[in-house]
Amino acid sequence: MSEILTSRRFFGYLGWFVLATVSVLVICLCLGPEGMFALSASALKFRLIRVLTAALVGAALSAAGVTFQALLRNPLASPSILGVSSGASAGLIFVLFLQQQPFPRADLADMPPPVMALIFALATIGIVYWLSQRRGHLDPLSLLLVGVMVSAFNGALVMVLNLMVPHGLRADIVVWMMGKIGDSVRWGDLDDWTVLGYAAAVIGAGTLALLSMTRQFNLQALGEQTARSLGVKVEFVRLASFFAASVITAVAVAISGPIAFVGLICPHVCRMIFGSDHRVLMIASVAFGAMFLASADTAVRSLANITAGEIPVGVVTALCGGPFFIFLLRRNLRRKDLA
Amino acid sequence: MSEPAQSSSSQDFRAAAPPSAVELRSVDFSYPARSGQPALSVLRQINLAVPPGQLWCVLGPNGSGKTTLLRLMAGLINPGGGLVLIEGISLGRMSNRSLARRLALVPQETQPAFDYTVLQVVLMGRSPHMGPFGFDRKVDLVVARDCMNKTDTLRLEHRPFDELSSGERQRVVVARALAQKPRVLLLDEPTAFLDIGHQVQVYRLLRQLTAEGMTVVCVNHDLNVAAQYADQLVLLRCGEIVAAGPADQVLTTETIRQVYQVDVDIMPHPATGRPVVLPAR
Repeated sequence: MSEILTSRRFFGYLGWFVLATVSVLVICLCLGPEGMFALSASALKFRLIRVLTAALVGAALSAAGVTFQALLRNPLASPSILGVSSGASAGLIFVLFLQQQPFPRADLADMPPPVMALIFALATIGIVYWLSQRRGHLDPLSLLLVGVMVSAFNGALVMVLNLMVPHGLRADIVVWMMGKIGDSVRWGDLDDWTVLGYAAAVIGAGTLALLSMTRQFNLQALGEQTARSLGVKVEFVRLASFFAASVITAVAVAISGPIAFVGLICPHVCRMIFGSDHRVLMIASVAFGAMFLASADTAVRSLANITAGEIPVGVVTALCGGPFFIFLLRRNLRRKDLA
Repeated sequence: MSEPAQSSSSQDFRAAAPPSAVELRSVDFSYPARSGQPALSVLRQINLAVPPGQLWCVLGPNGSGKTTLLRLMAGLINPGGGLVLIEGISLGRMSNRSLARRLALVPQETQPAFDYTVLQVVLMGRSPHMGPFGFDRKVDLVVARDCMNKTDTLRLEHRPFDELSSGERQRVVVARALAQKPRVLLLDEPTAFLDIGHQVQVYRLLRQLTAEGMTVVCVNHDLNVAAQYADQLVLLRCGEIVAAGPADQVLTTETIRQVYQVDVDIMPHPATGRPVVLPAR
């Protein structure tokens, strides 16, 4: 792809990405088990919420994926790597566990599960940040190690709580942990549009903040000393990108559960097409993430009649994503050998 | 200390002559004490003034503080005491961005985490000159091509950086540094992994740059190459300057025995007359 990015070219890309995303979302809106056109207003509203939720979650996970890859200087990093997703899972199951307890129920148990998932995810971010300091600064290597450990700890917490809830609930938990776009995103008293609006505001603001740091991501990729000598405030960029990416991951996971592979595959596909200039990579990944998850969710929604109940979309992304990823990687390696 | 008197006299001096491109005034640096370890003093009382348009080489054994000296000059670390001035302005009073427009650093090794082409890497050097939104402009492309031309890397323009040989890489990184349009260029062992052909290429390039007015400070291991190309040498040992000046004053059997604990023979280069250091048997 072209190596020089003028503002004209950037907005050209942006225009095409917006156009493509809107087109794909409209197509997704037209598809469903009820057929294409015989749609009531309520059915349309239901589809609209789902398509928008899927697009939002896909965009957030992709943006976070690009960021963690840049922050950790590792193209195989993904939003789940720092334990945020597993933290959210633990939070959700904790609520379900509390609801089963015979002792006088605290208000905690009345909390909508996604809210507790969000609280646990944010707490995980705080702990990971606190433990990853070295000489007063966020250190990428410590971040990676601490993230992996906290992930493992949260995973164990999920297992334990899972064993402590009744059998009937376990299937629900498993489905949630695979990642699923629900028919509704209501959180307690808040209706669908309010929740979606709040989520879109947080994810939108976070993504814009990340987009504004993409030039610094490029410089950091050349090495810490080079970035510093080019005037980048390395510590600040690390801190800001870590928090922005973690928070949008937390919101996405609270809505849909940890959907596998989106945050790894979408940035990767875009990297192969558009190269590693993060200024383009970020907007490309956001668009592609939104399109990819909305399409995948539309597929599971439309095929619900055939598959006798809906398959969680996270299963589809993992089942298709893994092999597809390996295929891309091998093709890329082969091309490099030939060069 | 006699510091106030010293600084006021150099103020008078500065009013008369143009300021040094790089100046260190009684600079100290030490790594802070950590649990169980006392503070480690790396540099003590370093005084240096590099005039504009000269090529200086900093020499010394491993661990003598060469790289730390360079990092201090680049503003990557702050001195524990003393002052670092670039073109007469103290580093503490300069923003990162305005420093990056005056001074560029070529680190020992550049290993990008992702795939970039040569042109992309060189364009990143334009960063301190870019607008708030960080898009490339036509002028950035012109400057980048010009810098690649200077370092003989224009023909590599569209090649992926990580597929280049180490000599080619080093020249691309120099082009990236030049794209900052600096007036001071710092290099940390730029020829550490290069054969003699590529070494000579790099030093010829550095000489050409100084001829155009650039000030170059280069950390080096090879005494002979440094002696042939540098205007002045600085010899460090254990964080202190042992000798500084023209090559024939710095490279003597006594200083080398003192710094490297080895006996050498020194003879003049047949063409340039500059000292050549030969290990004694």
